[in-house]
Amino acid sequence: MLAFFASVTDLASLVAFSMGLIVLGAAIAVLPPRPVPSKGVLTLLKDSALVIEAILEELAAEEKAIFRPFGDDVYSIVPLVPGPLPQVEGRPKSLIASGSGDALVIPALGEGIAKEAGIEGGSSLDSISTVVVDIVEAASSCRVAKAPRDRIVVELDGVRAEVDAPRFLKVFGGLVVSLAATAIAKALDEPVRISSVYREHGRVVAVLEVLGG
Amino acid sequence: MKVDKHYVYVIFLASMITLTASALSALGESRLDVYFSMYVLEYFVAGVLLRPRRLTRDYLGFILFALFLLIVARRVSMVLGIPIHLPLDLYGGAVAFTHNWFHLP
Repeated sequence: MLAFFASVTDLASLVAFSMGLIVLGAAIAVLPPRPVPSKGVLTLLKDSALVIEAILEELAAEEKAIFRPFGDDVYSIVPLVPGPLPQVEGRPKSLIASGSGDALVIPALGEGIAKEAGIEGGSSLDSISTVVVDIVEAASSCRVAKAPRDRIVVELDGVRAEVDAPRFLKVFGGLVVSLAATAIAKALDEPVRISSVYREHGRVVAVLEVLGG
Repeated sequence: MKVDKHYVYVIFLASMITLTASALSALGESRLDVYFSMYVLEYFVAGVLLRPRRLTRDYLGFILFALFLLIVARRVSMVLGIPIHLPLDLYGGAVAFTHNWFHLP
């Protein structure tokens, strides 16, 4: 049968095409499966942001959020009163932590996604774009740079994931900034606080402050 | 509507490989290393343009690049007149290779 096949076709081309199929198959095999499409993930995150907005409204929170890792998890701590940073010892078990000042303590937005992306203590800051750009597709590009005085600048272009939640924007800097801050806190294994956020025409630049142990 | 970039990547790579195989075949090309080099090139071009996320580091890229270097080394050695013999001789001609492999007359 092969002899017949060889007589009617150019076997060199067939072998070459088979090689191409092997390369293509191997390239597809190493792509990650996507049980939930990016749009679905983004919608879930937006809904979560709206729930957080309702809580922030209820508590009249205005201070910038702090993203603090506790073991493998990252929590958002929102001080409810201005002043010294609230001391939260151990993994939080309640919504409101008391101590040097009350604070709202909730699991950080996108914490599970950062975990899924393989971000852990010691990961490169470039891996942040895996969460923001590749998995959630909340922005088209993400650049992270270290700045003096323990600051990290995150520049996001083509941002397409914002929510109409003014208090959430004020406290968490927005959905993409919150995602980036969570991933950065996880990668550095240190708490970070949103220092300032600038926005213009789908471009967001956030300055985060690394608070250290 | 935004199309998943992984779909675009797969379609792009599949199209390029098919196009390359068809075009080179139509030109009567029978050297497998020429086809393979083009596939490697297309793999990296698709990767740079569409930046797909992968499960692990790009080990396939390392393997393909290593094979590509082997092909280039083989070509350079042929020009210099220092033959390199490989277990699987991609340079002996595709027809000879396939005929030997399949024991064709």
